[in-house]
Amino acid sequence: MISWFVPQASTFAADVDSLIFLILVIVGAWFLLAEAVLFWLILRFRKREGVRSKYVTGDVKSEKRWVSYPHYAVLVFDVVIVVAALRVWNDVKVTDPVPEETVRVVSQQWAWTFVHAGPDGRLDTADDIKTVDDLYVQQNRTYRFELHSKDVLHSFSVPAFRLKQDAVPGRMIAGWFKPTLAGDFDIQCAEICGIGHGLMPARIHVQTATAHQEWLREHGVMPALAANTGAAGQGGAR
Amino acid sequence: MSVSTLRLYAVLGLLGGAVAGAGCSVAQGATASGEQLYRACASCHGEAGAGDATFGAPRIAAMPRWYVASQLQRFKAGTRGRHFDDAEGLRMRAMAMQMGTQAEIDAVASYVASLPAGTSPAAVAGADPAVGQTKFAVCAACHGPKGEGNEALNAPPLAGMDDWYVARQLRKFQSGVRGAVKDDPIGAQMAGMALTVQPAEVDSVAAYVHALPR
Ligand SMILES: [Cu+2]
Repeated sequence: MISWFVPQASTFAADVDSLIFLILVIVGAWFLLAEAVLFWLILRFRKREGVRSKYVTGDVKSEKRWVSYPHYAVLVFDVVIVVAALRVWNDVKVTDPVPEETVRVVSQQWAWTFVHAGPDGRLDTADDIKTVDDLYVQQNRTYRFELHSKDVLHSFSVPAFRLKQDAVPGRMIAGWFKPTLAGDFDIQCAEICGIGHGLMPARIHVQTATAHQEWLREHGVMPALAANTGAAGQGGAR
Repeated sequence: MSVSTLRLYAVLGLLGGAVAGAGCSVAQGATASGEQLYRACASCHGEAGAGDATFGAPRIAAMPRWYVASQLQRFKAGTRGRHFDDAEGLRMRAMAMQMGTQAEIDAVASYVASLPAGTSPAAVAGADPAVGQTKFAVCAACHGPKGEGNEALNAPPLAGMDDWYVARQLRKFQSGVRGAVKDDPIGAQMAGMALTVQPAEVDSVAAYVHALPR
């Protein structure tokens, strides 16, 4: 149902949606049942001529059941929901599949910047591709991301992936995703991070293998900027 | 943006609109005044436009309207402040995006230009004024002998500008963090000129510029 609004673009997107749907069904069914019982009781015991109202103390076993049975049901369904939730949590946040590539995601006030491994597939080498606002990944490839923050708390949220991870200054937080759907999807900051919080939109471009190879070929070698020679690396540039 | 994302935004927008319509007084479509728009700037540049070095926000009060407007446009367009290593620029870029229309850019630029001028205390240490003066001869070709600026050459006034800011911008130009965007002759021109200043002389030039009377 959520996929009517936001596509499921990662391997675990459908699992997250199923979990939310499961909770909706359980809670929704009980909501409807409870409302039905409530209105039935209101109707059944409405004011009638010649019938005196009665104070119910709840001591009688047959009356107490109306509370205790639903209570047991709540406990049972809680267990169902917790088990289902932990399975998804374990899959998304705990297991650490062997990545085929690593990207570095850097959040700051107020922008997302990204370091792609480049043609050699390794970070922190000369052919790394650094971008602002745009993250390029290949469809059906397992990515590990290393999330950083340069200043305050941010949150790396990719709604189409059903992925959200807080970024904490001073820490590197790793996670993973595997995009399944080619296309361009939103990256949002999901943690209030200052006056420009709403103004740091970015995009993740999930490309087919050929398109991604093409992109790599185009951007793989750092363009030799005239200004980047000579005076480069003096520090103090920021 | 995909159709389904749009649909989600439409739903959220309707919900938000219902809430906002109930109690919000800002009318959609009406252009806010420069003073109102400046509130977004004030959190870093200060109410009076005096700047704040802690945020990397320079003094902007009394900067010419044409320069403020052009920089806001450049931040929005990504010709300035869209470099991976430009922390302050990336921050300013988001702020510039708040100025949605040309009318808003002009309004806030006029307001900034109308703020009373002033000079911040010197912040750069170890500068040699003699070296700064000699080196400034190159800058004077565009920025004017008294650092008064020249709109025709896209050269902003420099006299009295924050020294830490001038030094930082020179270093950004030198390292390609600023002025290295493709098809941007203005940035490229200043980046080339910045290379005429030796790394050790940057602070001296900045101090000299800062000391120039407005
Ligand atoms: Cu943020």
